[in-house]
Amino acid sequence: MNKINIKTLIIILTLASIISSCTERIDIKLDSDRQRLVVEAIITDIPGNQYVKLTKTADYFSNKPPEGVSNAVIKIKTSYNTITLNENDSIKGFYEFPFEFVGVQGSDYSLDINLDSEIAGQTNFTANTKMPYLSDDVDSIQVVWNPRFEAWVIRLFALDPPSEDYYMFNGIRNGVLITDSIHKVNIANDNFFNGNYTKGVAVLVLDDYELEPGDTFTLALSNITKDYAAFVNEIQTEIQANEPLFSGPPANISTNISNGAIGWFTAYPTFFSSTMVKEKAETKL
Amino acid sequence: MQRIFLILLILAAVFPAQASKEPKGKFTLSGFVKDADNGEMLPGATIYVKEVKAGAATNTYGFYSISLEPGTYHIIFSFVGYANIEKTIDLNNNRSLNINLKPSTEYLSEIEITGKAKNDNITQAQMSVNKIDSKTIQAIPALMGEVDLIKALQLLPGVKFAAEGSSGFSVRGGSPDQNLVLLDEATVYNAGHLMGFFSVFNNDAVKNVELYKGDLPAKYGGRLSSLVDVRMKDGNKKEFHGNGGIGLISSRLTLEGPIVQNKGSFMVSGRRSYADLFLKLSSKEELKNNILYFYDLNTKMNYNLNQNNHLFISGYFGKDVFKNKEFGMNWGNATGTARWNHVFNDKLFSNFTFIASNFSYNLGLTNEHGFDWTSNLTDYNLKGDFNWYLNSNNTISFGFSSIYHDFFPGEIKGTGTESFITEYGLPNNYALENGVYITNVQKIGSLISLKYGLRISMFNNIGPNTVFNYDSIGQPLDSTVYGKGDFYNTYFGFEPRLGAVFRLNESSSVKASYSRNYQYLQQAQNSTAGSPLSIWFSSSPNIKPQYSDQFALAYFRNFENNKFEGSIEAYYKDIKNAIDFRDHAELLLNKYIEGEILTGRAYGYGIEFLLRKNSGKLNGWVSYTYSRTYRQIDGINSGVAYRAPYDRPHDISVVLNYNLNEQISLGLTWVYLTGQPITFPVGRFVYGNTVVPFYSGRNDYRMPDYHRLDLSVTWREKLNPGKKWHNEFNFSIYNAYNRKNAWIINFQSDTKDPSITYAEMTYLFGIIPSFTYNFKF
Repeated sequence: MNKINIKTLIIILTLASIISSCTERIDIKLDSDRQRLVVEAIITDIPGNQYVKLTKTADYFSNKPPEGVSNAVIKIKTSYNTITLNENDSIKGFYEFPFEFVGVQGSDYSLDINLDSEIAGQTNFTANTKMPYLSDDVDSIQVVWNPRFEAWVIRLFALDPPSEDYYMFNGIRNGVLITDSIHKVNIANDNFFNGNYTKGVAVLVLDDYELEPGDTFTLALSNITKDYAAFVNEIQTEIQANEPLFSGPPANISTNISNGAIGWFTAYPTFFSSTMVKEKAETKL
Repeated sequence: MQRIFLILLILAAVFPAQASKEPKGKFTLSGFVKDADNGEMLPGATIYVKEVKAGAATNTYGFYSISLEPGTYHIIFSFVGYANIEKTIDLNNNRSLNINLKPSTEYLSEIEITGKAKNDNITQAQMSVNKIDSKTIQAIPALMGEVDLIKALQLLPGVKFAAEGSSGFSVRGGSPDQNLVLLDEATVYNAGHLMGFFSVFNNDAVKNVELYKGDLPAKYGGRLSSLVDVRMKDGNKKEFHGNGGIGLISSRLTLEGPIVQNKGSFMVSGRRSYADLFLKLSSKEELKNNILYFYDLNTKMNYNLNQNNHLFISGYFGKDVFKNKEFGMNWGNATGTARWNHVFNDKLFSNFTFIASNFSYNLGLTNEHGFDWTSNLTDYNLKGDFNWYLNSNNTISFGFSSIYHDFFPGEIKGTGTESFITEYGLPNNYALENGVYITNVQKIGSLISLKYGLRISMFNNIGPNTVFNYDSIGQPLDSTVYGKGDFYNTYFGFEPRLGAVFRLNESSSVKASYSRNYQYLQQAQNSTAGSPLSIWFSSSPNIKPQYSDQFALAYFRNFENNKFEGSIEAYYKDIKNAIDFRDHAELLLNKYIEGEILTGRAYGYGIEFLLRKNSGKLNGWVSYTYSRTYRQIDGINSGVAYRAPYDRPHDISVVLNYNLNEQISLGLTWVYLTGQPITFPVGRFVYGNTVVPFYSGRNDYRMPDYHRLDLSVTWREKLNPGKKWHNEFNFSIYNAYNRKNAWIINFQSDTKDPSITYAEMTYLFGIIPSFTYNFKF
């Protein structure tokens, strides 16, 4: 259970029970800010699973998908060579790596983007990242049904190394990614079990409809950098509803891209562990 | 520096001898002013000598001392809500005179006030102070009928609630943790029950409360913005009495009476909420099994050993409990105060106090994955305070205070058989906070009175501790380990407190003041309303103490023979080393919390108008404040100054109580506040298929303005000399015209189509009627 869960629990239980709070949609006029470049750049150790996505920011109430940025020259420099990415023919602003390219644990990568026209006065954007080593020694996972919260809980049995580690957990059902948006993944540090056996720590909580008995569930465990963990945490915090008892003031998401662009260039290795989902009654929390 | 401490201590010891040397040809009249019915001491009662057109006031323990040439004097003793007593005194030696004032029959008629003695608001050099007694607080319509001292303070000019319904408040733009909240001199670290919606003060146990806005008496220190000095009732010295009530949220019972007739008394007051009983009625299973309540207990005993020695022992214990099958949480304050008033002689009054104060919280899961999270903070405080009535023109106060702080910021431990949490704890942190002060109130002629004093504070961090060093973005670099008992860091603060009053005439005066305050403790809290899950942390090698300079000017004017008190006060306040937190700061259970802290400057200014009527059929006040408050902190809002969360320029409070007749009184409160500053998105982007907002500058926008009307009607049983039991019924309506005041505005993505975003407002309280039954015997 991480801090967000503790907070959420307190908020829900206490507020729900004592306060007659009401919520309604309201109209607010917001100002516009100048457009900026948004970079989503990911290198993994799985073939065909690396990309760079370039889009633009939009007005808050624009209510349509973001506009892709085409015709950029994107280069990735590794410790021994430089590769150039190709833009996908059908998805505007989506740039692909050569299929055989995979990230290597412990390697450094640089990203260099050159646009054919300025965004917020800039055409060149750069970023650096390093792929961490896979650290956990995973024994097994368990999928259990929690009747109280009416949710599936994914439990991890693994030995955490003594180093300071940051994890990202994704869920895959019968080969299809369930955590298909960054706000659905779980980010954890090892503060509470550093160097110890994790004893079935809850690493993902999924809604009733997201799994069914008989499914094959796969947990994807990735070691991520501390900075990327903070970045994802920030996104998850900012899209959550604020309330005056616990929330700090809203704040912009950090970035590791230069020249005023938003987004993150990240690299991480992933370990997969699968299990069959049992009937709800057969599982024990 | 140690020498100054020593000198003051030695002075304290030799003063009794010094003080008894009379200036030639003058005699001293001294004693206590008490309530004739119950023997309670009356602090702030005025003593007015007609012949010299001057007077004095009783101190917080009801003691007064006045020196006069030999002669015959007509002296008026008076106190708001009490009938005056006029005595003719032949003063030809030092005399002791205790006075018992009778409460006026408050509901019958307008109290006639003999003007001249009643204008101490005009004549005193102290400014930026408001005083409310428990009767006034009682008359204010309350949320769910729960009479609340803190909510009453929030209606005073210059005071704003931190968020609707919150027990946190901002004084002259300061943060809630810059208020020193004292209950019988003991610090109350968290003044809220039920996530802050009700304050920890049970009004039945309270005698009165004084609020000092920045211009603190030199006796007090350690906070920048205000002092809230709450005094518990002493207990009836003459007869056994009780009172209590049954309300929507809680029930109360207070008992008081003599231990030894006229010598000692006790007071016990308890309160317990029963919100959870309503939860049992809920059809929802998950609500039904919740236990949720708070309780508090105030006790006080006092005993007059003799005319010159008086002992007081008081305690407070309060807790909030929330529990269900698996989850449990509780938090609370406990304070204990022991005081010894000693009158060395008719000119030197002293009070020695020992205080222990604790705030703690605990939460945990009780199942096999269980964990237990605790945090607490304990203070031990020893104080000595002296009032030396040097002569009729000079009253010197001096003393010392020494506080030992023991912070235990937090620890989490696995408790269940399958707990994945092993243990994560933050080390204890120890500190010593000392202060010495001396201050004089001096009258120069009949028109000018000065108040000048100096407080010197000293703060030490004490080992064992591990202090981390941080880089510019708050990441820990390395650490230094200090051994047990090491005084590894020391700060000093020189805190001048100056004030002056110039009387224009009998009913108007001009005042000015300057004060510097230091603050060595602060709360790790960056939400607006505040939650009980916060920790206090101290100054350290990484965090310099905050200090403030406040300049204030005022015009005081009374009308209609002092029936109406009016004042206009303007202030400018500048805080150095002001604290705020990095974007996305993690404040709970964080070993590197000091890395999350940024410091800079906070400043604000304002003008406060107040018109108050304390007695009569119609009483209450109307106030208007215009104020601004900003912070400029490198690393926040790109280093550009931004509105503090409490920057709400226009603030109007109307608080009226009308006694229709002996039995029925009506209450009305109306408040208006400019909307709270808020940060809104000015754009959005998509990352990992999630729509993420990006924001304007910090607090660039405002929520809609806040306003609310509360009404109440109280019916009291007719006073009947033969009948001891006395009933009272109160009906009140909170938010009478059902204004939907935004508590928070959120920006959300549609769950079905995440590319659709919308704004959503949450408001807390619609129109809430409530009913309370009170009794007295």
